[in-house]
Amino acid sequence: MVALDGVDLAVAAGTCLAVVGGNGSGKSTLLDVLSGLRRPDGGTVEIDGERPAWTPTAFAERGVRRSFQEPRLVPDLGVDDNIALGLTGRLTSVAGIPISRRSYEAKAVDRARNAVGIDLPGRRPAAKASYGQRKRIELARVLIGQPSVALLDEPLAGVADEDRPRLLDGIAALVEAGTAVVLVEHDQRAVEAVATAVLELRSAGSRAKASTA
Amino acid sequence: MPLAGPSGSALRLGVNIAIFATVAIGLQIIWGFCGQPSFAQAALYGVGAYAFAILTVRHGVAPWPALAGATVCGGVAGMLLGLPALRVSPEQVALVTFALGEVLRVIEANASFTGGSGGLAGVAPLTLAGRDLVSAGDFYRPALVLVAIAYLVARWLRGSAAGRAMFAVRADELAARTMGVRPGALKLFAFGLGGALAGVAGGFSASFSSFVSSVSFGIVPSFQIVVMVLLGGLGRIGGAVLGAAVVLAVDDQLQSRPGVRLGVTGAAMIVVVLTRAGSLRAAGDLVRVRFRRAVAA
Repeated sequence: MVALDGVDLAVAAGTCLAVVGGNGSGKSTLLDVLSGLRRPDGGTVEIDGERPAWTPTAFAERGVRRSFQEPRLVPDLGVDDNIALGLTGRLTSVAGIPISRRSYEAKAVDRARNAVGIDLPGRRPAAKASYGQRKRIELARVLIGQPSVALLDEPLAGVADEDRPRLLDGIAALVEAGTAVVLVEHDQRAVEAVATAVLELRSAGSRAKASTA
Repeated sequence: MPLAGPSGSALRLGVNIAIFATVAIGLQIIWGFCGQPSFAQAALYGVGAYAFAILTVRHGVAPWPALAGATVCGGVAGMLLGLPALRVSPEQVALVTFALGEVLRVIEANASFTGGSGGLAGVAPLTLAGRDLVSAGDFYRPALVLVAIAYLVARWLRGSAAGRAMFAVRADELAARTMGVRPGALKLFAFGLGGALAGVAGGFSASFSSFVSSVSFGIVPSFQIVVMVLLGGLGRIGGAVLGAAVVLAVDDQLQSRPGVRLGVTGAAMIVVVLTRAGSLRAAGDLVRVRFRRAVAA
């Protein structure tokens, strides 16, 4: 089965491309490809003109960060530790082992928490957070890494109406900071609020083209 | 833990609990933090014990430098045992480490440099302030310092960027990699640190019993260490200490009945592996819930 065929997209720094389409149109598959989790049968991905190897690690090293439709947090770790995980790729490391910088981490975690409005105790295990809270923790984990490319898979799903403006502000801030954002989202108003271009995937295998540049 | 007028055997049990708690904290780092179910922790404990014995008996190395040597040997052996974990799934790690642990034990039981099946006797005692540590009473305090150091090392790791990344690897390795986590480096680090803790505990234990034999590092202690960690709860440092205390206290009561002892170890292994409610904390939660329901009814 062909999930994505002839899909062509370009996202410039400081812009947001919204990817819309029905269930099964390949939105999440597209994010898997763009984050190096899935190697397509054909086609290429370039970041700043270079093609990273097809591994999530290589993509992460190029500054690609993502969230997942179903949040993939570390259940045993506290809320703050989960957010701080997003810093891993930005820390100095020795032989691949990241070295902590406590005061820097604490400040960055605070900023990310505020950006998406997390008011849970920092040590509460992520397993005990609600779905909407887990979505926000994951978005904070993306924000904290100051990514050059952010892939957001339905960041507003399961988030209460009154909390949406705050999250949209967080995404807008990401765009303003110069991140190239790819946003998969069903919420039409959200798309209109932050997206600078829209890519529509109609059904599996259909062709689509979009560019924000 | 200081007991009122402790007898020699109670002190001996206390020292052994501290030694095994250190080994179990090491496995907690490898398995509970980084998600690599190693069944070779007893073998690494053996590497430390033999390293200490060979250095002091055969090469006349002073006890404290020999203990440092045992730590390094445990760490290096741990990293070597961890190499396969870079290529295979956690389930396979369990099998591979189990097999490699057995290979190590067979070598220890037969090689000439380990004293073969006779083991090595006359292992040097540790010295403090120019005095040899001989009795369980002498070893008791240093043993507490040993487990305290292991506990603090694990606590430090748990709060560090490396420790967080290990937990991420255990929970979801692919997701971790999308954040720039390097699972391979972290697994080797975990195996090295866990092996070093097993190694130092092994050296300490060799000095304590002044004798090493491969019998002490076989399948039974290997399973016992796994039970200690699972009983205490994966990822819980204090749980490993509690697990060591429970397993060794029960084991101590069964010394006179070897058949029952093996059966209990086996049964405990099956129960903690098969039931998610295997940890003491989970069991506590279960009892609490039942109790509340009973009260509410």
